[in-house]
Order: sequence, then structure tokens, then C-alpha cells
Amino acid sequence: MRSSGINQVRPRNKYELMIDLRRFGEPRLRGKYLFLSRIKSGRLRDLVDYLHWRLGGYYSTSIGVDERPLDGYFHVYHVFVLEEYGVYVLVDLIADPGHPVVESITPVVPAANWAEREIMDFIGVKFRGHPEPHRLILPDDWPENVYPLRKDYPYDDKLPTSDKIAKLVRESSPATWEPEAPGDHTVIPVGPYHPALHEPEYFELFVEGEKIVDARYKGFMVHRGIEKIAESRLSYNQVSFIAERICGICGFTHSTAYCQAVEEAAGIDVPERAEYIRSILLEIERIHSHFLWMGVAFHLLGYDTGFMIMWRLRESIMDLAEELTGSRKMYGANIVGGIRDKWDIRDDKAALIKRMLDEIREEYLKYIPKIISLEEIKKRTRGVGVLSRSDARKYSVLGPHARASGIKTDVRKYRPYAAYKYVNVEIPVLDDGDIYARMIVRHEEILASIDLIHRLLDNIPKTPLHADTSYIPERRHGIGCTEAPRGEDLHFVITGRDNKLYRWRPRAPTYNNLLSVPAMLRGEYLADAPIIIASIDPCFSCTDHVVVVDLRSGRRRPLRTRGVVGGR
Amino acid sequence: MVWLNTLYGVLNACFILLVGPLIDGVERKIRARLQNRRGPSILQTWYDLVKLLRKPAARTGVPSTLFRLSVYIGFVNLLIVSLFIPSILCGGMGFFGDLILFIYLLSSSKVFVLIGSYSSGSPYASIGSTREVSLSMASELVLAEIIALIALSRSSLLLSNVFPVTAVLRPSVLIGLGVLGIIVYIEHSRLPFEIGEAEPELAGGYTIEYAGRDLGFILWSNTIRRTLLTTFLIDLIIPLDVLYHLVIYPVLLFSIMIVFTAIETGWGRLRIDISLKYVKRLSYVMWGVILLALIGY
Amino acid sequence: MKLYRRSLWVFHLNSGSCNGCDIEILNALAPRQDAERLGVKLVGSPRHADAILFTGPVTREALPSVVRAIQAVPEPKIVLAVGACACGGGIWHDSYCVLGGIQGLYRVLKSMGVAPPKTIYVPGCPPKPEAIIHGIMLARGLAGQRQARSEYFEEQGPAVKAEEDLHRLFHKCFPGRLPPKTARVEWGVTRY
Repeated sequence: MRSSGINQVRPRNKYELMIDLRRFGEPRLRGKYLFLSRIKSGRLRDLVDYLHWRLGGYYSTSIGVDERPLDGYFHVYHVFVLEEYGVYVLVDLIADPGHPVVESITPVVPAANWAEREIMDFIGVKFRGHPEPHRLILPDDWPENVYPLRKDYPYDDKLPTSDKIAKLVRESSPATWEPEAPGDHTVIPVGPYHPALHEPEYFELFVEGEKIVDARYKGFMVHRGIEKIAESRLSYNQVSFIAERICGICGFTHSTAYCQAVEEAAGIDVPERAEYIRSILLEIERIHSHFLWMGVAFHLLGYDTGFMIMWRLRESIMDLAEELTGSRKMYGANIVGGIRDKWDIRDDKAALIKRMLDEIREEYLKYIPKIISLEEIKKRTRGVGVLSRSDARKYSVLGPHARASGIKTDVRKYRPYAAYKYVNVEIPVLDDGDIYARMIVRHEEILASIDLIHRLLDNIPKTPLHADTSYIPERRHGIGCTEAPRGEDLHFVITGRDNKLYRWRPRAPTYNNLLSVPAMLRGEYLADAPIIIASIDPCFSCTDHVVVVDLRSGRRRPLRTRGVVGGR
Repeated sequence: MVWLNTLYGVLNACFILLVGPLIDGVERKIRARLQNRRGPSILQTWYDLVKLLRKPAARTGVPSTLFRLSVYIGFVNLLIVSLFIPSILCGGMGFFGDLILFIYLLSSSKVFVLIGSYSSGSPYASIGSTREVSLSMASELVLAEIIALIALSRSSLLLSNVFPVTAVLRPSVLIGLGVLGIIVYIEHSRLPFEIGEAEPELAGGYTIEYAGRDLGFILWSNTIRRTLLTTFLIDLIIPLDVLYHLVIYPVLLFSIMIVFTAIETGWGRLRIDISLKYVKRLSYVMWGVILLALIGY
Repeated sequence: MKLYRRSLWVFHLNSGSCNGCDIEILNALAPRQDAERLGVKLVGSPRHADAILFTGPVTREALPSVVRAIQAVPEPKIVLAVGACACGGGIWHDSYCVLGGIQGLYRVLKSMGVAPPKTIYVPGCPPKPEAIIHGIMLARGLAGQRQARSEYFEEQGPAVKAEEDLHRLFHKCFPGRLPPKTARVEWGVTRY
């Protein structure tokens, strides 16, 4: 046991929590945010241990910020979510630019591993006591001591020249690639171009015959530098559009989370009607995303008829989105402070949407019971890729993945945002933790979302569509959280001057969910690997702008990709 | 008579070569219709094949001769089979023991392609071919048992003598024909037993490294193989008669393929261990049936 | 291309796209559009492919595998750049870790001594499935090109002209008074 002299009396509310945290540093409460700065030397790990393991909160993410132009220091914020107290605790560490080193919290909270390494890559702050302080995100030929998220680095500085890239391609020819398999197992690469993934990602499976012994994930192929672009050349309202392009499936939830973060920071009250419209669009997005997942899952199980049925139904949802927003994807409705004028839902549209939704539900209910009771679908999903409740807690998985493992979690219900404050959200929870349970959870969510849209459309109030956003104060912190189709989506912003963000950091749910994949893969059949990987509904483009995960050993080898073809 | 039989054989082979891809096209159309799609033209498989055969076999980075040669060996094997199996014309180059040669050539044609694919060294190709080999070894064992049963019931190893096996109506023969139907379905490598290519899992499995002309020949061989297996099944049922073969045979051929396709669209892919279990069970059933035949039922 | 008039097999190559275009590509194969009826088939191995459906702005990290996958597709091949990102880098065009779409990739290919394949651009963010199908038909020579690349610079855009008309009217009505200032719209863009 750690002898940190912990007060045995648990704080009862956020004010008592603030007083309690005085033992560790200087707390400052501003609305939902509890800032804790000037941590007493040597007390950081005790503090983190207290917040993460004793107070029932959980570590969410870490953000590194180059605040040298403001106060002369690099800052590192560790964000903890304490749902019980209704606060986000932001542990604020400062690092001297001459010698940027802070203490690492990874030994206490393993989940902080990649976030801290990401800060090392992008800001150049080193973490003392980090178990594997290796490069994580940037390409291998990226020069040392060049940190792209520092304010003195231009966002469009393309290093190196194309000649050097050509050299890189030549050097990483497949012939030079030698896998390090544990023991004598065969290494099966899944990716970077594999029909199961639809995205350039890379898993390495170590197999013995048809059994998977171990798995590793390497990725980071979709890093596009979105944070730097947003901070450098986009205004507040433009960022909501680039946020939508983080992901082509769940884009609107990213853009909502971003707008919410800025609204939180600036203290803007969004009109009710805009909240309702946001919620309706979010639910439409959830339905289309779950249809998509179902289709892809059936395709991976070899059941192409199911894929075709699901995607035919999904076309109707796309029509619905087109009817509401003018485009099938990338709705472009959000601005800071509300919804753009033309994206209003008129009464005649509302009636049309209700009718279309009823048709979709009818058709869906006609097919889905037959499909999910198919013998070979059950055979290949029941008891496959099981993630127990305790494992799910350990990896702190999110969204439908967590709900299928018996964890009651949903941002919509427990930290309501947008119009979820006004309606009751039903969340399906199953205990089995296998792929079948994940399928059923998503199936229930589709039906729940259709109901929810009906209720939202019934109660939509008449108010303006956006608030006045002429003044956004500088240097304010804000966190926006939404329940994406895949789980909690968290955006952190610091406001800046000249109608620009100072810092923006999105954290997608796949980040957490990916961690659980090797645990699910171990001991399963190779033929099941694609469906197990897909069962978390991975969205790599969401995750990759921020993180890469090297699951098992944590060792970083130079990433030389071995293609599907060539074979050696 | 010899030259007439040779002519029959060549015409039969031509028929099989032409009709294989056509049947595949029809199947694609039907599959699409069952999936609420319009589907390609029924000649689409032929269009695909013509395109592939016109493309050069690209340098795949796999310099082995085995890799390329095996495709053609497999193709020629099937061609030989189609010379002595009566299909559209009732006759062919029959000779003593051709029943055994039939099963040997049919299984070796696949094994050659798999060996060639395995030699490419691609991990997907090796998994795909390993899976395909283990499944086809298991199912070919059952096929061999069925052939033993047929030879036993008709006491002959000559194809022209055993056809049609329905001439002796015994329970063992009827069960044997039923099992043969299932085995033909499995050997067609249709879902849920299509595990060697398994596009979403293995990106094409054993065909992954082949391109252009080589790939064209593999796909062509696959359609021919399917047609030959179905032909064998039909030959065992309908009488060895000119009219029957000219009229009933094509009708049966297409309808069996269509029924198989309809079954296929309702299935997902099974895992290799589960499918092997199914085939093993079939093999046990066949041992029982052979015993039944030995006691005279 | 004459060889591909009746049959075209495509390989989907994602070079760091957001998934939007990738999903629309799958949509083109789903029942409503059903690209298979036109002889289009999505294949899993680049060796089987005739054309590449290319999406994404080409990130630095994905580059080696993208180059290798393109090289694995046998000749003659066609590249369809699907989406704004693939056509010109899109919203990421000048980011530090993005090559800026297919042209950036071709610069790398040229420096390696590889001639870039025939390319067809399908712009949009994301392009609709209908647009993707049109691109495919264009590649096979079954449909004509709707728009040609043209660069033009308008000295006087319609907005400027309208403003001048307004000023003339103002001078006529109120001689001697200065017209009120209106926002000036700058024209002169490259359009495809």
C-alpha cells in the first residue's frame, strides 16, 4: 500500500474535493473544471493514484501545449473524469523550455502511455520515469528535435523533400523486413491493405497453425496533422468543418464535440432548437454507422446477402440525411453557438422524416431477426472474441463495446449534452461480452435511436438557431464530450486570439477500444481475426491523428511495412 | 469406333470449357437477384476471363517455375477428365479403370494449383492453400468412399459401366447419391465452405499472387471443375442415352447449379475446424453405407 | 481502354482518407447503385486489379505501402482519384505530414523513375456513388467527359460588374455623392 497520508474521509461534493486536493497543489474551480496547478514536488503520482484508483474517476487523456508565447512554459494537462462529482480534474504541469522534463504518470496509470509519448513527439517535453520513451507517431525519418506542435514550427513545412521520401520507399523494401515473432510462430500481417480493414492499418498476428498466439497493432498511417492545421490557418467556425473530416463515418459527432468544447470555454448558451437539431443529426449518424457496421460484420462472416440487405437499408438513412442537410455525409451544420440557418428542420420535413423512419424500421425488423438467428452467424459470433467485464474495466473500453461487456456507460445518459438533457435515453446492456452481444447491443441501439428521433421531433421547440458568438475570451479551457457511435468522444480546446484556437486536441473512442483487441484475439482462430478486430467498430482515421499503439511489448521497431503482396 | 469416341470426347470437352464460365455468369445473376441487386450480364464471367487471358501474366516477384507451371498442369488435368466423362454427348474416351483416374485427376488439379500458390511464400496464399488442402483432402476421402460404393454396386471400374448407378436401386446407393450431392457442393467451394479464397479474410487466399493470364486459367479451371463434378453427379442419375444427355442433362446441370446458388446466398462462411467436422461426419456416414452395400442392401 | 470495356476489377487503396470516400465506394457496390451490373468487381489483391480506386491525401507514414500497392497492380492500369483529398490534397493539402494528393504521389513516383498511370479525377467531399460510377465508366471509355480542365482568370467577375452597375445607377440618381462601400468579391480561381 502506498503511504500517501490519504484522508480517510471521502469528499462529498466538488467543493470538498477542491479543499481536499489542496494537499497536492493549488486547486482552482471554474464551473465543471477543477484545475490543479503547482503540484508539490514528489506528490504527482500520489495525486494521480488518488484520482484514478481511489476516487472512482478515470484517466481520460493528456494534452501537451506550447504556452511559451503566453507565459514562457510548456504545459501538460492530464484530464481525469470524475462523474460522481460532475467535474473534470485538469492536472496542470509546467515544463521549463530550457530543460523540458516532467514526471511521468504512466507507472501509475498505464493508459497514459501513448498520450505521454505523443507529447514527447509533438511538443518535445520529456517524461521522467516513462517505461518506454520512444518515438511513437512521427515517421522514422523525421529529424530529431523538430516538434511539429510547437508554436515556432510552421504548419506547412514539408520535411523532407520528395527525393528523400523516394529513398525511404526504396529502403523499406519488403526484403529487408524481418519479423520478430515470439518463439517460432508464424507471423501473419493483417494490413496495411487488407479487405477486412478498409483503411491502411497494420496488425501482426502470431499464429500456430490456425490459432492466434499473440497480436500487435501498428498503425498511424492516417496522421494528417489536423491539430496543427486547425491552430494555424483556420478560424473557430472553419474548425468545425475540419473536425467533421476527422472521420467520414462519425464526423458530425466530432464537430459537435468540438463546438461544445468552444461553447464551454467561452460560456455560450446554445439555443434549445439548435440542441435538438444537433441531437437528431447525431442519432441519424448513429443509425447509419450501426447499419454500416452490421453490413461489414456480415460481409466478414462471409454472409454477403446480409451485407447487401443492411446497405440497402442504409441508403434510406443516407437519403434522410440528404433530405435534412443536403449531403449524404459531412452535414456541415455545426457552427460555434448553434446550427447554421439553412439547416433548420421545418415541420413538413419533420413529418417526412418520421414517415421515412417508420418505413426503415419496418423493413429492418422484417430482416434482422432472421439474420441474427442464422446458425452459422451464431456459431461464429457466440463465445468468440470474449472480453470479460473486468478486462473491459482494465482497458477502460467505451461505447457499445463496453455495454456488451456489462458496463453501464453512455455519455448521453450520465453526462447529458445537447438535447439529451430533455429526453430519456435507454441504453441496452448485455453481459456476455462476445461478438454476438456487440451485435445485439448495436441492433437495440438502432431501434432506440429511431424512437429517440421521433421523440425529439415531437418536442422540438421554437427558438433561434444560434447564439451570439461575437466575443470568445482568450486562454479559456473547454472540454466537449459526445457519445459517438463507437463510444465517448472527447475534445479539449484552449481558446486563442484573432478568432483562432490556441490548442485543440480530439480524442476518439477507438483509442481506448483498440487496447482490448489483442486480449480478445489471443487463443482464437485466425479465421475469426477480421471479425474480432471489426467487432469494436474500429475507426482508425479517428484515432490516428493522435495515437499509435504498440500493444504487447511496447517496443518501437522501425515501421517498415510489409504489403499484402510480395510476401517477403 | 475409336475415332468416333475421340470425337465425342473432344466435343464434350469443348462443351464443358464453354459452359463452365456461362454457368458461373448465370449464378452471379441469380445471386444478385436474391440480394436485391440487378446483377451483371450472364456473359460477365466470360468477359472477365477474356480480359484476364488477354492481359499478360505480370511479373509478380515470384520467379519460381513451379508457381506458374502448376496452373497449366491443373488446367490440362481437368481437360483430360472432360475428355472421358460423358456430358452433352453420351460417350467419350473410356478405358479400364478410368473411374480411378477420374478422381485422381480431379483432386490433383486442385492440389497442383495449391502447391504452386504455396511456393509463392505469401502468408495469405500459404494459409489459403493449407486450408483448401485440408478441406479437399477430407472431402476427397468421402468422394473415394462414394466411388468405392459405386464400384461395389455395379462391380466395375469402367465409367461407361457404372453409369447410371440408379439402375440398381438399393438404399445404400440412394444414401450414397445424397452424400455425393453434399460433397459436390463442398467441392464446388461454395459458402459456407468457401474458405480457401475467403476474400474478406485472406484477400483472395491461394489466388492472391496470381495475375493476368495465370489468374484467368485458375478461374476457368474452377468453373470447369464445378461443371465436371456436377456432370459426374448427373451421369450417375440419368440413363446413358443419347437423347437423355442431349436434353435432360443440360437442364439438370443448370438447375442443380441454380439450386446450389440459392442455397449459397443464405449462408455465411464457416470456420475451417467446423467445416472439417462436418466433412468428417459425412465420412463416417459413408463407411456405414459401404458396410450396408457389402451386406447386399 | 478497350481491354476494360466489358470488365473492370478495382482495388481500393486508402492512403489516409477519412473513410467518407471509402464508404461511398462501397455504396457504389451496394444494391441501389450495384456497380457489379456494369462488370465492376472489388478485389482484395492488387495483383488481380485493373484499376485502383485511390482515396486520401497520401500521408507520409502510408507512403511506402501505397507505392508498393500501386506497383503491384499489373499494367495496363488506371488510377481513379476519388474525393477531394486524392485529387489535390483537399483540406490537408499543405500539412506537414501530407504529400498533397495523387500529384504529390506522382512526384515521388517520377523521382523513382516510374511513369504515372492514366488518371481520372472524381472530385467531391465525399463524391456521390453516382459520380464514382461515372468515373469508372469514363475509365472504360463508356462515358464521355463532362468537364474539362480549364484555368481562367476573370478580370471582372459578375459581382464586380453588378457593383459597377449599382454605382452607375447611384451616380445617376444622386450626382455628386459618394456611393456607399460594399464588400468586394475577388474572382480568379482554377476550376475543373
